[in-house]
Amino acid sequence: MSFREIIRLAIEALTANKLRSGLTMLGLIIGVAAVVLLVSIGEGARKFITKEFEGMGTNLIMVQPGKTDKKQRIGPPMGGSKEKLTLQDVTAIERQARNIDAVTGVTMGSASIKYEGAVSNVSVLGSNAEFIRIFTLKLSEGEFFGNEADTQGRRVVVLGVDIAKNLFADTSGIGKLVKINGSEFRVIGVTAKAGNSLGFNFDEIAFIPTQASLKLFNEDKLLGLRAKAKSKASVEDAVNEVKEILKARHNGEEDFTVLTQDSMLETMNTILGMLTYMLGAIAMISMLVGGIGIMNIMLVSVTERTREIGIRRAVGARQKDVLRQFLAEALALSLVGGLIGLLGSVALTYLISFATGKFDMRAPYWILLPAFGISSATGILFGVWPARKAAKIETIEALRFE
Amino acid sequence: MSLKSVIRLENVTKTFQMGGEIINALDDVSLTINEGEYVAITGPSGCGKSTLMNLIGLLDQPTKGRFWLAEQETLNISDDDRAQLRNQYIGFVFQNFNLLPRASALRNVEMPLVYATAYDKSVTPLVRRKKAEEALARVGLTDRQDHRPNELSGGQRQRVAIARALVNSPKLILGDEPTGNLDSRSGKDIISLFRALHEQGVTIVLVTHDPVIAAQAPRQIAFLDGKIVEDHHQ
Ligand SMILES: Nc1ncnc2c1ncn2[C@@H]1O[C@H](COP(=O)(O)OP(=O)(O)OP(=O)(O)O)[C@@H](O)[C@H]1O
Ligand SMILES: [Mg+2]
Repeated sequence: MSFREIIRLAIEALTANKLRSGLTMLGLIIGVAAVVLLVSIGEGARKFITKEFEGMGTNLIMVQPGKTDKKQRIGPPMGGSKEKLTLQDVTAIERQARNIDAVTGVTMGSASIKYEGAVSNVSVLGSNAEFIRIFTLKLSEGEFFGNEADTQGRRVVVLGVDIAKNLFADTSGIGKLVKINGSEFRVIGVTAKAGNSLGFNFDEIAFIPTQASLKLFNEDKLLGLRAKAKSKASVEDAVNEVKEILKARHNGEEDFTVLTQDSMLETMNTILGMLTYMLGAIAMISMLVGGIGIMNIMLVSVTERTREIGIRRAVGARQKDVLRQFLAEALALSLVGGLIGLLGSVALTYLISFATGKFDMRAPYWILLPAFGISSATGILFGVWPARKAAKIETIEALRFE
Repeated sequence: MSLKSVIRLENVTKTFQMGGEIINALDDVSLTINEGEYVAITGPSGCGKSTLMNLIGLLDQPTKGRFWLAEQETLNISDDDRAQLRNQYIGFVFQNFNLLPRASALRNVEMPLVYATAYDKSVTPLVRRKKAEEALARVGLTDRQDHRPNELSGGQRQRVAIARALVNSPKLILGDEPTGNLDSRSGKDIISLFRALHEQGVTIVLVTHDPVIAAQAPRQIAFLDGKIVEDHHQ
């Protein structure tokens, strides 16, 4: 039987029962679409987070207390118990590091903030005057505190725009006194709306000087240091400098971890890449279900057409001709199903990307070939058994089949 | 010049088991049919005529005994070789037609040629169609070639089945009651068609219940209970 004839028979058989063919394909369509969609979402998330990271202040260097094992570098360690970073460390870096443009210690705590009748529970971030430069924070009103405010332990606060709105509604809060955990702070500035970035929202944070915050939370250690290298090119030198300075101050021990934006991005990319593959692999299970659907229908079809098989064998079809005929049908089902699933899901990812505008989840090109390949392979894999069964039917038995 | 045998059976027995009962559909049959013969097989219903035709047509295998087709022992030949012989050497007209219900008369007649491509590359779709149309013309069904079997009368279906048996120019035609569903006129037409083929050298074996048709055959074999009871050359 010629190739052309095999294709023709397969198409005839599938169009003879359109509803059944369509429903059988649906399983694989969903399988392929699931793989493409989930991988696209994973990739989209990766792109999105990368962009957010890059928008988060440039040349950023973070120092966290506690050593990090080279083997398990996933995220910074959270405030080690023994190891600590102090304001003296900040001063040392300020004085000695030549590749550092700005450095601040940071503290973080939650507190209640009160003005007249209004109360908010907020995160309070302690830093020095450089914070605004390191994170390119913008103000809508007033100004950020200066260095003398920090060194003198003055109690001033810059409110995130959402907090200000909550406490003062539409009137200006500048110059007013608010109570943070009972202590009075004077409002000297309000941030400009920045929105959510990586689950971190400056609009909902109250910024106060480090000295004041250590006193407020009765602490002597910092959450960490944040610094900005002079330029992108000097980030590596800056990191080494910071390490040397801190090591010298910590009895030669590297009881802290220095992270850069690049190293964090790298870690993030690794995690999200893994997530994408995992999503794809999970979606593959639905492909399997689609394949079983094909096998099921092919087995039914073989039984239904036993007599046809007998007639074909009687006029000279060899076992391999019958095998090829049924395999071609399974393959046609999976090829068409795979193609529809592929085109449909790719179109959907483009549609969603353009509709949302912000979340780019257009299907990556590298997924197209594997998704289509695997769906075709599924067709062959699950088509082989029914086709072999068809080929093995005894001619005379098939002719007698009612 | 010695005659070549087309069919040679030696002590062939075919046994069926139905529940606990054992039926000898063919019981120690020995028979030789030579090239160019025209043989009619008669006998009451259930005497084993179809069973014999299925064995000769390589659709089934004997339980015991040996069988040569075209002087080739058939016991140990491969499944592919059997398929090739069915396709290239034999034209089989089934008692119950065995047409594909979803295919047109033309497509049904074409079917053996579809599998003939494996042995002869010159059988292109165009050649196939031409041959199928010729075969349908020989049985007088040119105007019905696009009809499906269920759109045809019993006699017309029988003629489609005959056209399919002829289409690949076989050396041996096996007809299991090929005129059973035909009126006496078209029955006669078909018989003269077999005659013409016989004159061209095709070996013909027909099963028939019709004594008139049997009487016209140069050789008549009568069966009873799976045994040959009469083998008569005219
Ligand atoms: N597959 C089978 N299983 C069991 N018994 C069978 C089978 N095929 C045929 N037989 C039996 O073998 C015997 C011969 O059957 P066969 O079909 O050869 O008869 P026949 O001579 O062709 O009859 P008819 O003239 O009615 O077509 C019958 O008794 C039948 O019941
Ligand atoms: Mg019979």
